[in-house]
Amino acid sequence: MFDMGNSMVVSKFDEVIEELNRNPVRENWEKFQKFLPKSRAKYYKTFYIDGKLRGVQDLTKSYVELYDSAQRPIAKIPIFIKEKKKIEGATYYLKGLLNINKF
Amino acid sequence: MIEQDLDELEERSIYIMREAKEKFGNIAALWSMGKDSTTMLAIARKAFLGKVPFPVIHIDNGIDFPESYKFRDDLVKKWKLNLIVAKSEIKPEISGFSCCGANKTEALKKVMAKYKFKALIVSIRRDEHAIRAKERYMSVRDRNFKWNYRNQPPELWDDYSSKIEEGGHVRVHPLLDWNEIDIWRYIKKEHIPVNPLYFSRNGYRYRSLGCTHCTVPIKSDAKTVDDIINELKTTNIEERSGREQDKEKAYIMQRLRALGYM
Amino acid sequence: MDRIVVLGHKDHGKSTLIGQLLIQTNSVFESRIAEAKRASKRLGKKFEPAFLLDSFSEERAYGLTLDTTRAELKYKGAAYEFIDVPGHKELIQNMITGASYADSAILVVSAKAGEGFKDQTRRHVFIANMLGIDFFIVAVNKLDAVGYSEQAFNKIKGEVEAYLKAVGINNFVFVPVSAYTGENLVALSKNMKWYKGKPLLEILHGRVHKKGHGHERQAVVLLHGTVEGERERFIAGRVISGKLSSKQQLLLLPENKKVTLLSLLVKGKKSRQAKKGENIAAKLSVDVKEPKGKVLASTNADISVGKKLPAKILTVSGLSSKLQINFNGVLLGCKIGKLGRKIDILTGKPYKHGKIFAAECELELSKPIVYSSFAKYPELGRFILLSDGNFSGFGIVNNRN
Repeated sequence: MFDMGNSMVVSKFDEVIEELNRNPVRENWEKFQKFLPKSRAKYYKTFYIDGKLRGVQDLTKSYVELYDSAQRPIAKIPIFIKEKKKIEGATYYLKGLLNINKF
Repeated sequence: MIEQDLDELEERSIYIMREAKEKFGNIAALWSMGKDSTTMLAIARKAFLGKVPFPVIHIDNGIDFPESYKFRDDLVKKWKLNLIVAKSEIKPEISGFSCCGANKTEALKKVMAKYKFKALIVSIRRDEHAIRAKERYMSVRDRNFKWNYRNQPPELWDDYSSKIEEGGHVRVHPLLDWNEIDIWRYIKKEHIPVNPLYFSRNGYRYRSLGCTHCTVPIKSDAKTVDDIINELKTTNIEERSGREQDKEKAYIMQRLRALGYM
Repeated sequence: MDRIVVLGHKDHGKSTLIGQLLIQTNSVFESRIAEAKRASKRLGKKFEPAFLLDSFSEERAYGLTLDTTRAELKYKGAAYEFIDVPGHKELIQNMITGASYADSAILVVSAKAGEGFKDQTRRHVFIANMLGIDFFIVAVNKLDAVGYSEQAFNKIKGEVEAYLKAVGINNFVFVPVSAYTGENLVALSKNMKWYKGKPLLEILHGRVHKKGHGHERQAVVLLHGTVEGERERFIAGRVISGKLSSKQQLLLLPENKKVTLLSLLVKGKKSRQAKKGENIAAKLSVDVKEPKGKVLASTNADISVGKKLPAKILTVSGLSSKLQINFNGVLLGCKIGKLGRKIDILTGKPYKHGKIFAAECELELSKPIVYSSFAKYPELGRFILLSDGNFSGFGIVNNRN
C-alpha cells in the first residue's frame, strides 16, 4: 500500500513517479532527481527479476522500491532509462538514497 | 589476519606510484569508489604533494549503487579529481555475468585507446583472491589486454622495467602488499572518506563492492571503522565471498584476467 | 614481517609444505580451503594442501606451481610471509623475483630414493645465497615414504651439506619432515624419535629476525625523478640509509658537488627529518639534471663513482656481445673487462659448459655510476644483466680489494 500523503510536495512527487513509471526518459528522471530530496524517500531496494541479469533488456523487468525513514514502502520505480531507443541503467538518479537490500 | 607496518606499506605504495608516473608519464587510475581505490587516491595525494596528477576512471555499467555515485561526485569536488566515466554495456558474455565481467573490459579498452594511457593504476591486493596472489607490482598487458601469466618479466628488487609492445600498457599495483585489515587501519588513521555501503544498516553491510546486481551484503552490525576492524580480527570468511562472481568456477577469474578483465 | 623463500624441486613437496603450515597455524580463510577442496573434487583429486597455493588452473591439473605465490601466517605473535617459487628450469626468472624480497630460505629436498638433491635445487640455493639470503633451513621431506628412516635422512643431509659448504654457505639447519602427513612442521612427530631437534616452524621462529642495520650514520638518498608541487618542482628520492635533516649539507654524486637541502617533504608534508625507507620530495640549493640514479650522501665514505664495477654475476642465458645492465632504472651499455673464474653453480667447482654460470668480473660501463658494495647498501650494489635487450641474469657489486 502506498501512502499518498497530504502535503502538496508529496503528491507532486507521486505525479513525478507516475510519469517516470509510464515513460522513464531523461526528462522524467531529471524531474525525479529534483523532487527526491524534498520527498519522504530515504531508502531503496533493487529487485532484479529472477536475480539474473542476462542483458540490458532484463532491466525493464527489474525495478526499485522506495522506502521512507521508517522503512515503509512508498513507491515502485523503474531501474532503467530509455535514451533514443537504447536502454541503460539509471541508479545514478537515486543519489542520496540508502540501500536496505537483504539476501 | 596479519597487521603490517602501515608506514612501510604506505612508503612502498608512494614509491610505486611515483615510479609509474615518472616512467610512463601518461597514466590513469581505476576508481570504483571502494575502500581500496579510494585509499590509493589518498596515498597518491601524499605522493604527489596534495594532488592526484592523473585522471581517475570509473567504469560505469549504469547500475552502480547510488551511494557510490554520490560518494564519487562528492570526492571529485573535494579532491579536485579529474574524472573520466567510461560507460560499459550490460550484455551477455562468457562468464555468465552480463554486468561486471568482460563487458567492463570493453569499456576500458575504449578509454585506453582514446587517451593512449601507457599505464593503469589498479588497486588490487594479493590477499583478496588466490589468483591475485600471483600478480606483480607492475605487469604488462598486451595490445589485446591479455595477461601472459606464463612469462612475466622478472621484477628484481625495485626495478619495474618492462618493454611494452605497441598498444599495450602496464598495470600498476601499488596496494599489492596490503591486507584487508591494513586498509581499514589506514583509513582510520588518516580519516579517509568511506563509502557508506561498508557500514551496517538493518544488520547487513557490504564488505566488498561491485554493482547493485552482483554484490551481496553480509550479516554484520559494524557501523564504524573501528567496528569493522574488530570484525576483521575475528572473521574467517574471505572478503570476496559476498560477491556472486566468486561463487562461480574458480578458474573463471583466471580466464577473465587472461582476457583482460581486471 | 619476515620473508622466507621456499626452494626446491617441483616434485619435492614445497607447496604441500606451505599449505600444511597454513592449515596447522589456522592461517587460511575457510572459503579458501573450501574452494581448494571443490577444485580438487572437480579434478578428481584428493584434497591436497598445496592446492591452497596453486591458483592457476594448469597448476592444479598438473601439480605444478607456475609463478611465485605468497602465503602469510602468524606464529607465536610473529608474522611470516612464505614465498613459494616454481622449480622448473625455464622459470628460473620467476624464481629470482620471488627470492629477491626474502631474508631466509627453506630448502625442501625429498628423501625418497631417486629424488634427492637435484640440479635445480642447487641452482636455487646458489642464486638465493648470492641474493643475500644467509640462513637456510633444509627440510628433508617425504620421510613418510621412506619408513621414517634416519639413514635416509642422513644420506640426503650428507649430500646437501657438502654442497652448501662447497659454495660457501655455513649457516644452516637440517629437519626431517613429512609435509603430506604434516609431521615435524609445527609439532614434533612421534614417528621420528631419533630426531632430537625442534619442528621446522619453531626453528624458523628462533633464528630468523629482521636484519637490523644498526645506527647508520651515513645518510644516503637515492634519487629517481621529480614531483610537481603547487608552484615548483621538487626532486624525488628515497632514503636508503640513515637520517636526513632539513637544511643538511650533502654531497651530490656522481657530480661530487656540495648541496644543501633547502626544504624536505615527507608523505607530502613539510618535515624536519626523514628516515630510512621514506620517500622524500626536496628542494636543493642546486639544480639536478636527470636525477635518476643519482645519490645524495652525507659523506662519500662508502660510496664510489666510476665506470669500472667489481662484480659477481650470474647469468642464466649466457653472455652475448651486446650487454647492458639495468642499475636502479638506468640502462647502461657494458663490457666484461676482466673475467675471473667461471663457476658451475651446480657444484661450486670450475665451470665446464652450459648457459648458466657465475663469475667474478670487472664490468666496464658506458657511463660512470654511483655504487657501493652489495653488502654495504644493497640498493646501490645490484643490477640486472641484459643480453641483446633480454633478461640474462643479475649481478652484485663486490667490495673493492
